[in-house]
Amino acid sequence: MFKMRLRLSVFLILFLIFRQLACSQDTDIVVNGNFRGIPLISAFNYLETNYPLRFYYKEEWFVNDTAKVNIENQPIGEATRILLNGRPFTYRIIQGNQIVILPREEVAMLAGHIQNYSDNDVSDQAFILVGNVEDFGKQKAVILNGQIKDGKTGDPVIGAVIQVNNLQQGVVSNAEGRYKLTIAPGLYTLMVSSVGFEKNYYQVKIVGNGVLDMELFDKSIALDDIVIYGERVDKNISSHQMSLVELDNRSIKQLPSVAGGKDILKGLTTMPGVKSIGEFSSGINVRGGGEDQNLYLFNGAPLFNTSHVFGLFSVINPDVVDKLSLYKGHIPALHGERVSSVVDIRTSESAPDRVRIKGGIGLYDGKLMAEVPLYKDKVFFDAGGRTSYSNWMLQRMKDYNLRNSLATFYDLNGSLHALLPKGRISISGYTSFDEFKFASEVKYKYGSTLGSLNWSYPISSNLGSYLSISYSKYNVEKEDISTHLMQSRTDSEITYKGLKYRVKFGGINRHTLDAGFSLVKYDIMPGKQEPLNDYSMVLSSQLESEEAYEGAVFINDEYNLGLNLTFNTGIRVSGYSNPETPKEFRFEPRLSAKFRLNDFSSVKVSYNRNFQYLSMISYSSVSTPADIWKLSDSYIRPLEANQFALGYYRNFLNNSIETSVEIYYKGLNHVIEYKDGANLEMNPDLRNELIDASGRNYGVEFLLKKNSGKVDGWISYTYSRSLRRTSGMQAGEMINGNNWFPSSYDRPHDVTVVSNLHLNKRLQLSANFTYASGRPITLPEYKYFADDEVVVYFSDRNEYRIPPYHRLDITLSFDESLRIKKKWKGRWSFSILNVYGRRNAYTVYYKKEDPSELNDYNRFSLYKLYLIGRPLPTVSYLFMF
Amino acid sequence: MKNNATYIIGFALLIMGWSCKEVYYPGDIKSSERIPVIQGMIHNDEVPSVRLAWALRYDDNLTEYISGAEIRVTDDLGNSVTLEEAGSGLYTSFSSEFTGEPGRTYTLYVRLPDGNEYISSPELLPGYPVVDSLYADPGTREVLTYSGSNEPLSEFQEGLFILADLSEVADSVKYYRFSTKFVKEITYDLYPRTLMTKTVFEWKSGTIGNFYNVNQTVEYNDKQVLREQPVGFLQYDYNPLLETDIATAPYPEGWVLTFKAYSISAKVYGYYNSIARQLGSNDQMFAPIPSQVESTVECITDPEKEVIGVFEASAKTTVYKAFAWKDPEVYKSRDLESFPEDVGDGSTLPFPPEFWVPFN
Repeated sequence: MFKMRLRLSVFLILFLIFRQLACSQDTDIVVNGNFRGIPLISAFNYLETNYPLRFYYKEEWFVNDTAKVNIENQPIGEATRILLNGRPFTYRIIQGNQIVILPREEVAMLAGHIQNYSDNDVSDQAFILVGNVEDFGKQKAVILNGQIKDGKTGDPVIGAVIQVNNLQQGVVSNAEGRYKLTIAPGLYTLMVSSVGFEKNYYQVKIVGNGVLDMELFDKSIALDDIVIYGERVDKNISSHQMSLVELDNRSIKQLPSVAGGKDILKGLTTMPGVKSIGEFSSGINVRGGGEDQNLYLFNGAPLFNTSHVFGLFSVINPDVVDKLSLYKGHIPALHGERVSSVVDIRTSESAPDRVRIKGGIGLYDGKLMAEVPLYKDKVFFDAGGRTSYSNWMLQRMKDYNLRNSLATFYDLNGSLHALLPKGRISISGYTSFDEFKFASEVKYKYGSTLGSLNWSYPISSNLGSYLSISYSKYNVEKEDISTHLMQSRTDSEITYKGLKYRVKFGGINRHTLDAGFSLVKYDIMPGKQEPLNDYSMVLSSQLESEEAYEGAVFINDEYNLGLNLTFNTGIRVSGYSNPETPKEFRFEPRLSAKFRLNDFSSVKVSYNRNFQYLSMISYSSVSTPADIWKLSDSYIRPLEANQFALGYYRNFLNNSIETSVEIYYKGLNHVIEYKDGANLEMNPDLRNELIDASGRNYGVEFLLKKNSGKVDGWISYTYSRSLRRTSGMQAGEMINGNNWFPSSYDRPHDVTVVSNLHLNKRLQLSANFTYASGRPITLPEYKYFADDEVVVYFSDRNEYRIPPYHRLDITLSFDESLRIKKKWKGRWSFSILNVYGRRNAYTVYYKKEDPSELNDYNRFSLYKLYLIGRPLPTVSYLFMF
Repeated sequence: MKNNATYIIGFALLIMGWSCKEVYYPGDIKSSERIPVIQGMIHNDEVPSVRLAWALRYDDNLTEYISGAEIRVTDDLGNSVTLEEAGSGLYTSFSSEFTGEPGRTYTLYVRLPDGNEYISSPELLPGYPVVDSLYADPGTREVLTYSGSNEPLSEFQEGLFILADLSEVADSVKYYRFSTKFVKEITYDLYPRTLMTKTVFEWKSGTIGNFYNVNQTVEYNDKQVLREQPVGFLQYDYNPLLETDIATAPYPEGWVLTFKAYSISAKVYGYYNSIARQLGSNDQMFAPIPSQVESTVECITDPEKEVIGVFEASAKTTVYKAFAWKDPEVYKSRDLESFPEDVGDGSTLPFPPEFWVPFN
């Protein structure tokens, strides 16, 4: 058997045929070693250990062979020739550091007996041989499979295209970077390409079934452009799934810098239909839905808070994310629990070939992560952490409020993976903590704890099973520290325990079935208040705890009807039970269809119904981590969404340019709205502050994306509306006279332009521009005096809008070195956020004042709070080794 | 090197400015329509009164009263009274024939000079509030003020937290509004330690709590009760440092409270409570859900026309009580039969005025 030192992949045999059977290769690796009297294998080992070299050979060839040479300052080619001198072997160096050793006899035997489909003359070029030579001529078609990897990081490359030159044949790598190609034996030139990578060519001689792993290398290692793309170049056309956004590990690294760091959720907001309510607000809003309508899954466990420092950063360290999938429309039946979207975040499941370290340092935070193999490629783990160090900077500020504020956070995550003889098991953990204090007024501490166990087990070649057990806890502690007499602490907490099991069956022709069940238990402690000192006048109190079970069974069938038509039908039956209400069951059908018009275009349609039994009660128009969660009960009914979507997808120039347009309509029932002046904090009668409303969100989304070239990027435009309507009969239960009114997420126009200019392989300039209509707000229109107080008379709910939001960011990134052999890779990124210093409003609020010349003798004023009011330069340094 | 890094990062943060606020002038506020503000009241044994003004536009500051309106109050027996203009937007009845009576339902009708007519919701004048007790809880409160650099300066004030208990034998919720006036009585010696020394008397009037101090009862032992309703805080502001050659430091002898509890309807409670919530959500940067004023008056000539207004029909119970306190734990109190309204302020009187309540 071959000894594959650094890649323990599969049955891969490499042979070389070349014009000169024995020749030395030009390479800049010069080696030394006294190998007199030591086994030849040990000599190879020594060279591998002390130099960045890999040797490929069969151990049995050299079991009892001893070297007898002393090598001094010889290029590796010459050194190998000396070591093999007098033996029936020759060698070939590929990519500068991989030495493939071959028996001269076999190489000679193969030459000239095989069909040549390659771009080269069979005798003129080196070929990698795949398959057992003894099988040559026995099969008309053989299977070539393997994995496409990022040559720099070793990570699998998803969606890489493997094309067989001179034959109109090709495949695309899957989610694990793997591919499978059925082909006749012969000589071929394989071209491997993927967005952002240099094309790579492999000359292969395929003589039988075999495995060939191939590598791609960055065009330049430009981390600061944004590349968001699907599994395959034309996936937007070929997949039945619509309204899907995917980020893989590489494109995540390329998200724009925000305060010196990357942010996966804010990167999503550059895509059509995904927005945030304001600059640095917490979470995302998908197709007019609230932040709580998104299910964020981190390795299968749900996240209830997605932001550090009240929205400044996302809680997920982008370095640890291998893949993120955002389902904003057709949500597969296996997912439920929320009505707007599912954000499925996964860390890497690929075994590292060695210890790999990544890290970064920015203005406000630093991060580090490691991937460590423990036992061959069977057991490995990854761990990462991130922390902020903004406190010491705040303490140096002149302003009292800033000097006495705190804004600190950390998050830690780790996963342990074991590849079993059959299947795989992974255990994942995550914890985050935030402490935020604003001067001497209020202090928040909040954090999440997540754990999950995922076990995938192939029952047969057609049947796989997947088990996931998850746990999530989110707690908030708010301390009122304004005055000694009012000092108090309020705690709230939500706990989630989940179990999901599903099987995937592909044994029926043209069908792929996915079925299973899930069970979730929620426990909520909505509020517990205690005085902070003996003088405090705040009394201890606790709101009644809540608990509920949510279960579901689901089945999904992907049916390829032929004639370019694919159907995806599913049904999910969800059940809900809490102590207050009888068990309830609801049907959640999922339907989608794709009709491929031709190689470059397709039409898709989908319908989804989802129910949500858990809602977030927000203290303000801007979601914050301090908001509390509330379970459905007899008064607060489960939120229901019915979404229809229709999309047309058209690619140009061999898939290098993608365009799409999607139209959607989402009807909502039992949306939570708030009564005027709702009192939500520690309110035992919270339900009396809420109003049941219906909603309708609709819009059209355009995307034009250029995937390659010196300039790449995309333009997205969304026109959408998000409206609400109450139907109460009492004055307090009506909003705007029960007429439709815009929700807080209604921002009709949204344009994003993302462009990356690749100046050269090491230097890249990126520019991102965003424009969005202002968020709806309610403003005071009139005022009057009542008993010497100024009382404000407001407009209708959300009748006005804050000014439109627009911002331009630019980033220049520079790679220290692109050399593959260089272990330390570093990158500098210099960004200017908000280039023209627009003061985009975060919130608008009013404040009573003493009349003076400064405020035109007004008794109150409106204030606009903005977060970045000037051009903000940032710098960050990323490294890996 | 370290210092350089510190400066660079610090500079970047300063450039960033973190977060800032600025006065916001929305340019397109729709306030061309003139909205009347109608604030009417009728209490038991009192004649009705109404204040009329136009709501101020967002950028206006001068109140414009409405003159020449036709205003009537009717009851459920068919009686009515037309109010007469008394100036500055005030309309009242100069005849005492039509006064409020518990159990009667009253409706306010207003016709403005522009021809628009407005009517209030019919208001049942409820029964009298039952004030079980008005009492004090000695304690300290902390008041924050801010320096020029935004530094909070904490001041601790000793005094009495005034509380009230009310109850009602009924199975329905009762709604109350509270209004409390105080007169602080002060004595000190002029020209102390001289032959000319003499004790002088001062008094200061004011209100504690605010106009929108409203609350509702909860059921307890088959009664609708309201316990420990905060009324206000009486600060004991004696400061010996003020002692000079001219005078000893003045200290409050005590306070005389005129506590009025009004029983109101649920609608009127909603109006006041909406204002109380609005005032409570002032200066909150995360912009809580706005609290709109819940008017109880509507336009009958044009139902789409906006109007701000309330017509309160309430029964009033008044409690007079004097409080004195010089010790952290102990205070004295005395129930009074009556106390004059509006005694105003007075100073350096060499003898106590007629209304003076002695505490020793």
